[in-house]
Amino acid sequence: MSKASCPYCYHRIDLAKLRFQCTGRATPGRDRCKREVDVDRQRLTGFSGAVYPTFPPRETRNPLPQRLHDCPACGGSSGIRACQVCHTPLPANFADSRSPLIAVVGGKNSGKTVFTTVLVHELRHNIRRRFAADISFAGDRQGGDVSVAGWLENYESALFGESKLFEQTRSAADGVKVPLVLQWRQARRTLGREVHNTSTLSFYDAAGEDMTSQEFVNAQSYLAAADGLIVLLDPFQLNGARDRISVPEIAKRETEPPYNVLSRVTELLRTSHGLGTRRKIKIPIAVVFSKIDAFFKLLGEGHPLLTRPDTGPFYDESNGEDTDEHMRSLLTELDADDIDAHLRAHYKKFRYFGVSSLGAEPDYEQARVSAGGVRPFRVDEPLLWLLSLDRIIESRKTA
Amino acid sequence: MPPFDPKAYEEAVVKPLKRRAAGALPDDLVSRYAIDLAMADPDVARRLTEIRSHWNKSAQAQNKPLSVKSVYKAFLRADEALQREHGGNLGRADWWRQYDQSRQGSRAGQIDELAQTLRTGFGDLGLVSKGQLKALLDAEFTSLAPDEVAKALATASVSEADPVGLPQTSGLPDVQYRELARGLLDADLNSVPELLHGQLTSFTVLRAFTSDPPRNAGLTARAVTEAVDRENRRSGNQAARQALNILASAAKNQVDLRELALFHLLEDVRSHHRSGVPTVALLKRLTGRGLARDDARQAIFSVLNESAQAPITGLAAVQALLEEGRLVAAQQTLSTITGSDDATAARTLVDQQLARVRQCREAAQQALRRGDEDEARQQYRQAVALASDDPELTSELGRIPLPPPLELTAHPDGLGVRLSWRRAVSHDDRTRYRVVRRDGRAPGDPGDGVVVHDEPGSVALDREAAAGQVVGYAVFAAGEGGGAWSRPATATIEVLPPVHDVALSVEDGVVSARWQVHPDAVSVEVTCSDGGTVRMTGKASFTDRLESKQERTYTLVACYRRAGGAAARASAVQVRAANRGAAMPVTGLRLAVAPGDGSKVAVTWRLPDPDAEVVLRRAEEPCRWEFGATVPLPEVTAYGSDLRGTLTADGDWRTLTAEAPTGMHWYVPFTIGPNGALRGHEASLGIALPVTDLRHQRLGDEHVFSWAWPEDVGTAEVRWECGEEKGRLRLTRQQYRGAGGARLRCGKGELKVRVRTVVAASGGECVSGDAVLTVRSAPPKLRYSVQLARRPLLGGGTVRVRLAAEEPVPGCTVLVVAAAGAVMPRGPGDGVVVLRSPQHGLGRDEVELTAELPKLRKPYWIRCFLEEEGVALLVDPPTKQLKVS
Repeated sequence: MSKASCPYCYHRIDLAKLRFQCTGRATPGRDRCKREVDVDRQRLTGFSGAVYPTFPPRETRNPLPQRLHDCPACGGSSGIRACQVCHTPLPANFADSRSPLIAVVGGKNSGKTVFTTVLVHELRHNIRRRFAADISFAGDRQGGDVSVAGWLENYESALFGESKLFEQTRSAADGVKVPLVLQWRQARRTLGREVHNTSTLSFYDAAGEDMTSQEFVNAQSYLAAADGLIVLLDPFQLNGARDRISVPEIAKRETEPPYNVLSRVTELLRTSHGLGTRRKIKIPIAVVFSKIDAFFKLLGEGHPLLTRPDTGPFYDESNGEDTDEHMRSLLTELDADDIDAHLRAHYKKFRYFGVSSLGAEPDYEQARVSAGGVRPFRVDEPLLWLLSLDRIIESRKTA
Repeated sequence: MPPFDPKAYEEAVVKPLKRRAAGALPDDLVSRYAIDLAMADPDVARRLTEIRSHWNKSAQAQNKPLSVKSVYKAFLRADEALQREHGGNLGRADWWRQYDQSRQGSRAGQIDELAQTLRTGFGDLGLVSKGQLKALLDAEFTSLAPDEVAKALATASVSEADPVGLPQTSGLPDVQYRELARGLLDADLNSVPELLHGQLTSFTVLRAFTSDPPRNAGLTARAVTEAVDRENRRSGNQAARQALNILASAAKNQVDLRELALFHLLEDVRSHHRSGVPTVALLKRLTGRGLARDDARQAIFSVLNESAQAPITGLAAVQALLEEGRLVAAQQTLSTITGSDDATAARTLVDQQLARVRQCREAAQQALRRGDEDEARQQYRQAVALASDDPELTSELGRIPLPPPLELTAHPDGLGVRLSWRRAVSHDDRTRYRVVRRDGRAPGDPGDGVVVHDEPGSVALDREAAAGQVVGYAVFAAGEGGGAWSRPATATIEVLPPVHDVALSVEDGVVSARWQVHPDAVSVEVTCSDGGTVRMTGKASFTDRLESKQERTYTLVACYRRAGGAAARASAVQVRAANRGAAMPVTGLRLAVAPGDGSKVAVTWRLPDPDAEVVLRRAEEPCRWEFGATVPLPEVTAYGSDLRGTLTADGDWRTLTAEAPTGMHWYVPFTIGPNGALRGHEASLGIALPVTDLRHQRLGDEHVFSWAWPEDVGTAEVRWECGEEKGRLRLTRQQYRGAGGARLRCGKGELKVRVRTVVAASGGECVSGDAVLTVRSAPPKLRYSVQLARRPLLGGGTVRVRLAAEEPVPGCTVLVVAAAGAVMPRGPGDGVVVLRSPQHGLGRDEVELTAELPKLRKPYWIRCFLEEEGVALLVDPPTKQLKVS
C-alpha cells in the first residue's frame, strides 16, 4: 500500500489507513462530540487547541477506499481524513495521489526563507499559469503556526510589497514546525479523457542554526521523512568565491562551509534510512547555489547559466543537464569540487542548480531588497526537477 | 537613499505622539521629515515631496484612527509654518545637518536632567507608570522626542510598567483569615507558600506561582493535601496544622490560593505604606519573606499606585486642610482636636495662615485704590489660594474690574469708523469689550452713549456715526461671566468718510464710474487730471469719454457740512482709466515636460498682439469660462495660481518654464483688457514622479530592466528602440513584480530604453519625465556543433566541428580542446588543444574543422574556445555533444 510522509508529524503513514475526524454534526437523537485537546497531536505537533476527536475507519471487506465514515460516538458522517499518528487533518486529496514532502535545508544565511517565499510566490503566479494548474494553500496553518493570511502578510507581502528581508529563522522546538502546504491540481489527458490530479506539496523551511552541528541535524525529524531535498548552499562561503567576487561583509561574519552542512545531512539520511556502506541514498537532492546573481559579471553575459530554459508546461531536461555540468565546472573553478565528490559518493540522484531569489544583491545592512524589487532567476527549476522525478509534471528533452 | 517606509514611519514617529499635549510637537524635525543626514540635496527634496504626500494622504485617510490623523494634520500645520520661516532652506542637506547638530547639543542637557529626575523619583523600584511619565514629560520635558525619552529611561535604569490589579480581599471570611494569619505567625512562617512547601529560596505569586526550587503542585488543592499529609507525619506544630485546615477548606470552596497568598503578603506592605515607610524598606521586607525581587518591585509599585488612602484626623488633618487652601474648614477642625499640644500647634498654624490672608487682602485694596487692578487681582488670588472655602474672598475677587484696554484708535473705514485697541496683559480671548459712542466728547461710563460693540475681539466698526461732526468713543473691558466694567480707554474723531468702493469700466471709449458715499455727504466733487469735465449722475456715479489710447486720472472728494454750517472735505480718492482698444485672446498654447528631472513644465504660446499683457494661470480644475469670454480680474486671480518661471521669447512666441506640481493641471492664458481679462486657449498636462535607479541585466537573449517605483504609482511605460525596431510596453506594478522586472527580447544592435510613470487622474493621464538607459550591442554569436568518430579498439578518433555565425564575425582563432575527467574544461588550459584554426571572417555559411583526437580515458570532453576575447560569443551546443562517457 502507498505511503507518504505526514506533513505535520513527518511519520511515514499508510494512506489506506488514515483516520477520520468527526465534523461535530451528530445524527438526530445523539449527543454531538465535544472538542477536546488531542494529547497525541499536542505531543507530536505542538498544537494545543481543542478539536473534534478522530477515529479509525470501520473494518470492511470492500477493497475500494471509503471516503466517508460515521463517527462511532455521535454517528455523524465525516470525510475529513487525518494522520493516524498525530491525528492532524490532512488536505482533502492528500491520499489520492503523490504528495511529496520537500525539505529546504542549508547553512546559516544561505537564503532558505527568501528562497521558499519566492518559490511559493512563483508557484502561485508564474508556474500556475505556465502549467495551467490550480495551486493554492491547503490547511489553516502555514509555515509555523500562522494562518494563510498571516503567512502572506509576514512573508510574501513583506518581501515583495515592502521590500524587507527577513530576520534569521528561529529553530523549531524538537524540529517540529508546520511546513507550507500547497495543493497542485492539474488537468491531464489519460486514455483520451481529461482527468484532474491533485498533489500536495509540503515545504519545510528549516532554520540554518539547526544545521550547525550533527546533534542539531539529527533532531530534525522532517529530514528523514522528506521525499526530496533542496539543499541551498551559500556560494559566498566557498573559498574560491571570495578571491573572485566582492563578498558582502555580513557573509564574512558567520561562516559555515557548505560541505559541512551537506555532510551532516548525509550522515543523518544514511543513519535514518539504515543504509549500508555500499549503498547510496535514494532520495533525490537538488543542490542549489543561491545568490548566483553575484557571479553574473564573473560568468560573462553569454554564459549558458544565464540563459533561462524554455517555459513550456514541462521540465526542460536538456537544459537541466547542461546547467548541471556548467555548475559542476563552476564549482571546480571555485575550489569546491569536494562537494561534487561527496555527492557522487553518497547520492544516487542529484543535480546542481544556480538560482537567485532576489535577482540582485540586497542591502544587507538595512535588510532591504534592492531598489528594483524582487526579480527571481531560475528559482523554480529545482522544484520542477523534483516534481518531474515524481511524475507530477512532464519532463522533456528539448535538444 | 534609503527608501521611505510609511508603516515603520507611522509606528516610530507618528503613533507615539497620539496623546501629545496641544501644540506640543517634538522639535526633532529630522525624524519627523524622515531625513537621513547622509542625503544629498536632490534626495532631501525628493524625501520632502514623499513625506508631504504621505502626510496629506494619511491626514485624509478613512481607515486611520482620528488620533493618528490628528498628528498628521499637526505635522502639516507645522510644515506650513516651517516653510514660511525657512523657505527653500528646507530643501538643503546642509541645513538639516546644521539643525541636527545644534539640536543635539541643546537636547543632551535635557535628557540628562530627565534621567536624573527619573532616578530620584522612581529609582528605588526602577519602575514608572505610563501616566506618571506622561505627566512628567508634559510638565517639564515637552520637547523631547520618544527616542530621547527612551534614552533617558535607559540611563536612569527605570522602565515603564503598568500597575497590576491587586486583590483587595483575601477571599476568606474575615475571622477565618485572621486565624490563618495568626496561625502563620505562631508557626514562624512568613507566607502561605512557605506553609505549603516548606522553606523556599524564592517564589513568585503576582501573576502565577513559581518557586525555586520548583514545586509542581503550585498553590492548589493538591499542594494543600500534600502539606497536610506531611504535617500529619510529624508531631506538634499545631499552629501550622490549623492554618492548613483553613487552607484546605478554602481550596474546597474554590478560593484562589494564589490571590490569598498575595493578599497576605501585601496586607503588611499596605499598612506600612500608610504609615510612611519608604519603598526601599518595603522592598527589603517583601524579599525577606521570600518573594522574588522582580515580583516584589512590581507588587510595591502597584500598591503605591492604589488610589485608596486612609482617613487622617487631628493635627495632620488641619495641616492637610491648610495645604489644600481650606482655611475655614481648618478653623472648624480645630475644635475636634483633643490633645492640648496638638490643639495649640494647630491653632498656631491656622492663625499664621489667617494673618497671611489678611495681609493679601489689604495689599489688594491698596492696589485698587491706586488703579492697579492687576496687582489687586494677584493679591486676592493669593488670598483665595490660602482660603478657597471663604465665599466672601471669592466674591471680592470676582468684583475686581479688569485693567482697561490699551491704545484705542479711531480711523475712517469705508463709510464708517474703524475702532481698534490692544488687550491688556491680563485679558484673554474670552474678555468682553463694550464700545460706546457719544457725540461731541468721549463717554465716561458704559451707559453714557450708544453701544456700538459688546463682545470679545479687539476691533469694532461703527457704521452709524453721523458724518460732519466730532464723536467720542470709549471702550470698557469685563470678564467672560460679567462682573465690573474696567476703566475706559477713549478716542475722538471728526467723521468725514471719503467715497468708497469705486468701480470703473471703459467700453468703446466710454468711461462709467460708480461708488458709495455716506448719506450725510452734501456732494461729491470729481476733477480730471487734464482739466476736463465729467457728466455727474447724482452723488454716486459719472460718465466720461476717452479717445483711443488716451488715459485720464479722476480725483473724487466727498463734501460735508459741520454742525456750525462750515464746509468740510473728506480725503480725496484717485482712480485711473485708459482706452486700450480691443484685446485678443491667446489662440495657441502648447505644454511639454521640460528637459531635466521631469519636475518642470514648458508652456509656449503666441502673443495675440505685441503689446498684449498675458497672464498664465494654473489650476487643478478646468476653466469654467468659454474661450474668448471677458472675465473680471478678481475672478481671474481667484482661479488657480499665477504661473512664474523663466520666460524666453522667439518672435511672437513666448515660452515660460516653471516648476510643476505632480498631478493633472490646467493651464489657461488670459489677455488683460480694459474691461477684464480675455480667456485664451486652455491646455492640460499631468506630471507624475519619475522612476529612479533604472538598471539593466542581459540574460541570454533577454534584457531585464528594473527600477525603483515612486510611491503610489502603479503603471510604467517602457519605450525602446533598437536599430529599426521600436516598441512600447505598459506594465502595472503587479505585472512587474510577477515577471521580476520588465523583460524585452529585441534585435542585436544598441538598445535605447525610456521608462516613465503613468498615473490616472480625473482629467486624463499624468506622465513623468523619462528615465533613459542605453545598452551597448552584444558581440555576434558563433554557434558550433561537435561530431565524433571514435576508433573503438585503437582509441582516439576524429572530431568534426561545424561553425556558423548569425552575423558576420571578423577574424578569430578557434581552439578545439580535448580534456579528460568528469568536469567540463573551463579554458584551453584544462585540456589538450587538438586543433588551432585561424578564421578570416565567418558568416552564416557553415565552416567545418576536423581534428585528430588522442586516446583518452572516459569520461572526456571536446569543447571549443576562441583565442581572442570579445570578438564573438561562442555558444556551446548541448553538453551531450561535448561529453563522452
